[in-house]
Amino acid sequence: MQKLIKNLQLIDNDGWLEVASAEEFEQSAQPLVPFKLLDELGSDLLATKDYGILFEVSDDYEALIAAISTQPLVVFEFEKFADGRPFTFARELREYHQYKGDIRASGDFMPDQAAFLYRCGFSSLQCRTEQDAQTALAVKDIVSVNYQADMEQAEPLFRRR
Amino acid sequence: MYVYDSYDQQIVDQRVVQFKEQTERYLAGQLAAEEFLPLRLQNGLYVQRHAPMLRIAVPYGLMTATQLRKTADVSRRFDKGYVHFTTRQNIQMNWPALEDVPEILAELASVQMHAIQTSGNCIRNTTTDQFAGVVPDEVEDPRPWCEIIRQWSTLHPEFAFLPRKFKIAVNASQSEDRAAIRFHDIGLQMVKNDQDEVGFKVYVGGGLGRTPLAGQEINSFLAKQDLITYLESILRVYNVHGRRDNKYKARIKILVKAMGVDKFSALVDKEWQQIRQGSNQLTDAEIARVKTFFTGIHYETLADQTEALATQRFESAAFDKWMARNVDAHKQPGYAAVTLSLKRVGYPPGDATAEQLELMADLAEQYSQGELRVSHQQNIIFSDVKQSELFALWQTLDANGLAEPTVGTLNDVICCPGGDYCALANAKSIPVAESIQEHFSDLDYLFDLGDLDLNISGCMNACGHHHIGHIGVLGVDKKGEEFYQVSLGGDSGVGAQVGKILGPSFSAEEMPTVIQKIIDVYIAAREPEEPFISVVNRLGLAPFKERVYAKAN
Ligand code: HEM
Ligand code: SF4
Repeated sequence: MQKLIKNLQLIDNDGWLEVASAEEFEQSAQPLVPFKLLDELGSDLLATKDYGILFEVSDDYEALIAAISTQPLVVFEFEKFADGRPFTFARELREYHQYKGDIRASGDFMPDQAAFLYRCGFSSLQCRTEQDAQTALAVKDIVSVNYQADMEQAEPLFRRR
Repeated sequence: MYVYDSYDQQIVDQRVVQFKEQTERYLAGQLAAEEFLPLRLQNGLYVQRHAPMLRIAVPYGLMTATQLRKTADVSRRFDKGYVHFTTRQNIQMNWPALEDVPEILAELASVQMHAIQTSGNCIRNTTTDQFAGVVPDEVEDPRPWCEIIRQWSTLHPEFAFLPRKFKIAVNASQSEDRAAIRFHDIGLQMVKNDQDEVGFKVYVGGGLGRTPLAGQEINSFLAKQDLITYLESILRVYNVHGRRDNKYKARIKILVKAMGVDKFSALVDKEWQQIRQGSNQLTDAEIARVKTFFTGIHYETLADQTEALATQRFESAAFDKWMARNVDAHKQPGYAAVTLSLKRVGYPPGDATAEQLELMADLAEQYSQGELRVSHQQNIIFSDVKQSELFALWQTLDANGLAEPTVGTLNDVICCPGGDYCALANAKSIPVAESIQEHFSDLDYLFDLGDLDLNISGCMNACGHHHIGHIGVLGVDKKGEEFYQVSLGGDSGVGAQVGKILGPSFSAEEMPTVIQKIIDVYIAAREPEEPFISVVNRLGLAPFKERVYAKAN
């Protein structure tokens, strides 16, 4: 099942695995740590390896900013596709905090949101199904010109026209 | 009139392709109804009582004759040959088939029209004064700013899934507010500072619906090049902090109220400091570029036709009435702005047939340089008519039912589609409007009453702006029967205020008499020339209540 879009390619997965405890963290080569678990794991343990952060919309975004440094991956989990907070979260992470790692969408988002996700700074999409992932790739570039400055195009159209 | 370049056209064309693909996927069962919903809404497509309803954008209410003709053509081919002009200066069609919508959008795109973001939880059409650009007392023409906002908000990637819909309005008149900016999520008042620089006073958190609130000022002077970055900051704060647990508490007005305006504006400022100097800061070149599109009207050097008009008015009482109510002053000597009334008794307020649209298109070309506007009172404006041609224009309008000389009077009713079309309605609104209009058919009487806003909504969603009518009427449901609640003292203008409820509601049959009693109290109490709203403000509700609820004896 190829549900992950990374570097605009469909793949099975890239190794990140959600962990639920310190023990699982220790055993995993590429642990994806739920944001709520970070405190429990503690900075000493976290310092032992690279890990990703799994952030839900109801988590504390200010605290996420405080916790972010060189982690290679932040996953924003969509609770509902209609809840657009992750669009702003991702954008601020890139724009205000110069985050350079992978920002991944996961959970209940629609393939039709792919273009906007990329424009807001997402760099990989963990789709719900393989069909969704294929649709996302197929429809992402239908609208190819945009007025706004975004994470793919630093200058708004009015500075380029 | 803003004219698309290849970029604007490409965006609209590609959007049509995108929506066609989405519709096909939906019809093929590959896209769940629940997911198609926000996608179609962002293309103006509701599912309504009888059929889908398509809302077409008329950016800040401005159209060309060509666009109006295309609208007529589309309404005939894909609908029942008429359209409805809305209180947000847009156009609605009530009967298109879902399968036809992509083709309708393609037709519209051919004349630089679209339905992008006319509904859904995103930034909607930006509205403004229907007399923008021609009123004598405006700071400057607000339409270039509306167009700049339109471009910024169109397919904005970050703000397509907001907690709730988001509406922005701009006003530039210094004495009046015809755009009801205080009742928008963001209201922008153009102002000049001490250095004579033009900027914006920013109001936030206004709105109607279940919790009507006037917007509060969060910035007394925003420099014009900062407009977009500031708007973006407000939207960011709203997108992150707006409530999503309850759709009735999701508008920005609730957030601003709960947080307090100071805390809210501090959060906006914090965002703004980080992006203010970014690439979205407007350039003088861009402002100048957009402005060039709104100077295309060519004015001849003419003198005011005061005497000739006086003679014509003397000779025709009907023309005189029309001049008094439907014609407004113009900043350019020898010109006038004309309002075509869509409030003929016996026809739903704001409706126009395809034939009327075509006629209006022809007349706009003949008399007003091919452009026209939609007002939030659901009428049509010819903004640049030569005074010397007013009489001839009036004759044609009058012969075609478009010269009802009642603009701004009690019979210029603002009215939503209500129970006749809308699935959310508690009660019908159009028949109530009609019965009141019929009751007040005596023109001299209407004239004597002067400016009076009567607004009617079929439910508390307030599409008919009932909260801000001098007299507001709201359809309510009482044990399955339709009743009407009356409020007084609402004001959409500079005196922005929400009306107060008079008391228990009335049946549809009682409504004309109820309104008559309210008017009787006004007439008995007014000073010479005193408008209705001022009497209500002065006396409060008590005498009106007493009269309306008095036991018959
Ligand atoms: C027939 C289909 C329509 C439906 C289903 C519909 C639905 C709604 C709903 C649910 C709201 C409340 C939104 C809120 O409080 O957050 C609303 C508000 C509004 N609608 Fe409609 N509407 C319809 C037609 C119209 C028409 C024809 C007009 C113009 C005449 C209109 C103009 C407005 C306005 C001005 C508001 C108030 C904005 C505010 O709350 O600040 N709508 N509509
Ligand atoms: S006010 Fe209510 S009845 Fe009227 S159009 Fe809006 S939702 Fe429908």
